Amino acid sequence: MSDTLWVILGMAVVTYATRASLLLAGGRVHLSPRLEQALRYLPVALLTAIVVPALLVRNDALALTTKNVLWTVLTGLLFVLAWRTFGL
Amino acid sequence: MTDLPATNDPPSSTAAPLDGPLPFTARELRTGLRATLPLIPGVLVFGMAYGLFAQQAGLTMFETLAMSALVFAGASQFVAVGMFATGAPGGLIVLSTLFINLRHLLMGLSLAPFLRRDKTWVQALLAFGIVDESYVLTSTRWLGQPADKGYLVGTQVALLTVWLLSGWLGARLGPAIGDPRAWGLDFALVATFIGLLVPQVRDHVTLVVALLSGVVAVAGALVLPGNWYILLAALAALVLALALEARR
Repeated sequence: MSDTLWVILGMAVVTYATRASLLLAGGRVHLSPRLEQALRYLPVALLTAIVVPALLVRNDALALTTKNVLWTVLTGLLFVLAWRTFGL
Repeated sequence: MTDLPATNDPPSSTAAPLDGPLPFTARELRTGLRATLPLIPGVLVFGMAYGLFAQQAGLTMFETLAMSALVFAGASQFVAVGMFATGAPGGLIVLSTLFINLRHLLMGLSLAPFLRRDKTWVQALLAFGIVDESYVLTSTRWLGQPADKGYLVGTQVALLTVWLLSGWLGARLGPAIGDPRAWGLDFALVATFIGLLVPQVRDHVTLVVALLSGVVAVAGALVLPGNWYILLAALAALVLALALEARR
């Protein structure tokens, strides 16, 4: 087996561990209702945490120039969000 | 069997059965497959970019697809392929993979209450397919109506199939495409996630949680190495959500 395949196998093991450990443990440990409620917001929190830096950060610096099309897109998204949420 | 209620039935509940494993229905399996369809273009493009990068990094087709089948975590596969290309040591690649994928811990924790009455081997099997997209779709579905394993499996099967197919396609078509970044293909995943995110933000609390997560993520991305900002922002948002829930 090649070295590359061993590394891939290692990646698979650690990745599976992150997926399975708390899922399996969570069945035995009782979560507080408050934590269960708070976890409802996890999908949104994770997606935002991935998306926003991908849009706004380039080479470890904020990309805030008007040339950044993504800023324009994000401004538009936020505007629509604000519109729908607060009924501007 | 008739539908007559037995005398020792527990009080009827609208939620998932409290005393047994989650149901698994073909209907919810189809619903899960169908719900994943809109994500397929984004995943397909991202998977092709992965396959192309993997090929450029010198991975064989078998290695490229083995990584997709066994690791099944796009962002970390992208980073790993980049590290293979620069000849990074294997231990460092595995460690980076672990760090990038730590966010799955939270996803597993969040699905645990639904699956705690299922057999351990069923939990272990379903855990393999907990990826960003299947998690977001499924947790949203399960919070809205009675949970059913079929939906989760439907999203997982659809995503893994597209992920493998697109990796193969990207590696095959590689030379014809050239540098995927020139086409903006690396943005496909972000675009998909935006599509998943926006419909989720339906009330003030969610908006506030999302805003905090976004701000912390940007600040973290500027200061912290690697992908730590994702975990940091998600944790900060969870703490805020806990505080907000306590005030209700």
